Formats: sequence, structure tokens, C-alpha cells
Amino acid sequence: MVGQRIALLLAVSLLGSGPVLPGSGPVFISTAHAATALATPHVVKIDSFAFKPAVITVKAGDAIEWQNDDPVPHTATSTSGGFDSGSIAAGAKWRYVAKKKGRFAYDCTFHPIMKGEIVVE
Amino acid sequence: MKTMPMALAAAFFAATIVAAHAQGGPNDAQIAAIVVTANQVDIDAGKLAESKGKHKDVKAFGKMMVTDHTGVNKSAKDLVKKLGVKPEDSPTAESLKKGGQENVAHLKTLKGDAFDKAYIEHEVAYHQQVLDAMDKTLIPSAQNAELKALLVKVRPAFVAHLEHAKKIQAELGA
Repeated sequence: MVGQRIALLLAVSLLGSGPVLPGSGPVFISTAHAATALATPHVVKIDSFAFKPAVITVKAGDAIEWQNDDPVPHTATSTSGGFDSGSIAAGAKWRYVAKKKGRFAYDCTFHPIMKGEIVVE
Repeated sequence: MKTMPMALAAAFFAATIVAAHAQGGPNDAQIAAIVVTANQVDIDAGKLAESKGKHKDVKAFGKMMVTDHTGVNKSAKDLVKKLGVKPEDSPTAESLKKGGQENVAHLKTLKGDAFDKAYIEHEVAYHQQVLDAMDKTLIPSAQNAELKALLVKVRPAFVAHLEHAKKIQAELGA
């Protein structure tokens, strides 16, 4: 918990220190990967039973945040077993740091017609 | 009605929804009640499947119906409250409620594979008919932009459930 709090404070302080648009900001190029990941998560919205965007390309070490904007729970679950969010409640978020390079298909275990893919470069 | 196959009963409901609103669609207060009733009906059937279902996929599907339709209903109720709309009864909501009660009563008489088959068959027909009603009546009739947006937003839930139910139906060899 304390670690999370510090990480959050760090993220907030980084947010306050300059532009943090994904892919922008030379400020963060020299920053440790973990801090970059905290400061600039890639966001996948879960809306109307779909992952938006359905395919997201990130750099190894980047954080991806799934934000569930639906009124029902969903999951983001790798079909090859790499990651599994478990149930993401309505309105909740789940964050994952993508370390391994490759293409990773995932779906929602509750609603298997919902499909997405992460491309880690 | 009691011996009417469930798919036919659902088709009957669809005919009722069209006939009941032949002279202009339902108003927003009626749509609100129809949405809440449609969700509640499937929550009730889902609870039964969770406890009486034989196959684990059927039980899990029933549980998901309870979770999802409860979630959709919460957002519908929140919006209705925010808009200050008082849900209003209509022949469609009545018909839905009656159909739901008959379905549950019928399912209670069944056990094992027969229960699973009947439950899933009804779920396929029910979600298909609600989708038809949404596309033909509810979404086009909704006047309030937020109500219309909510219907559009939750529509994919019914598509996902329909596809899922069809998959289970195929697995059961029904």
C-alpha cells in the first residue's frame, strides 16, 4: 500500500511537472522506465462492449490502463495466458505494464465476442 | 400459453410490442419502464439458472445475466432519476413481465438437461426479440437524447449475450 501511494505521488508530481502526452516530452526520455510507465499510461477504453482501440501498440515497459466505461464488469485476459485483469468493475480501471515484446491477443472472459490486441515493440 | 414453446412466446411478445405502439411509439416514461422490466425478467431467469442449471456453462451464463442486467438496470435507474422521469406502465411492459413470469414458472417444472435446454432456448429468443424491439421501437422512439444514448450504449450487451447463448445452445446440442 505504501509503495503504491509513493508511486501515485510520483506519478502525480510528474504529471504536474510538464507535458505528459503519450510519446511526447523529452523530459521523460531519460527517466527510468517505471516512472515513464506511471506517468503516461496508454489507455484502452472499454465502452459499449468493445475495447477501444482494439489494437494498441506500445513500447516494452509501457503501462496500459483499461478503463471500464460500461455499466457491467469486463476482463482483459490474454488468450495465451500472459496477463489477466480478473473482473474490472463498472467504472474501474486496471493497469498492466507490458514488458515482453510481441503481439498479444486478449478478450473478455465474460463476453468472448470482445476482442483486443496489444503489440509490444 | 403454458405449453407455448418459449421461442414462440418471445415472438408473441415482439408482435405485442409492435401492436401496442402501432399508433406512435412508446413515450420516454414507458421506454424507461420497458427497459427496467426487460432487465428484471432476465435477472429472475438468470437467478434460477444459477441455482438449477446442470452444465457449468449454463450456470455461469445465468450468473452473468444477473450481473450484467443488474448493471444495465442500475444505469437505467440512475438516468431515470437524474431526468426526473417516472417510469410508466404500458402493455409492452406488462407483456414482458407476464412472459417472464411464465418462463420462470415453466423452467421451475424442469430439471437437468431439459432445464438447460429450455433456459438457453428462451435466452436466445429473448435477447433476439429485445434487440428487435430496441432497433425497431425503443431507440427510434426515445425522445430524450440521454435516454437514447443509454439504449445505444447497452445494445451491444444484448448482442454479446445473444451470441454467447447461441454458442452454449450449440454446445448443448439443443
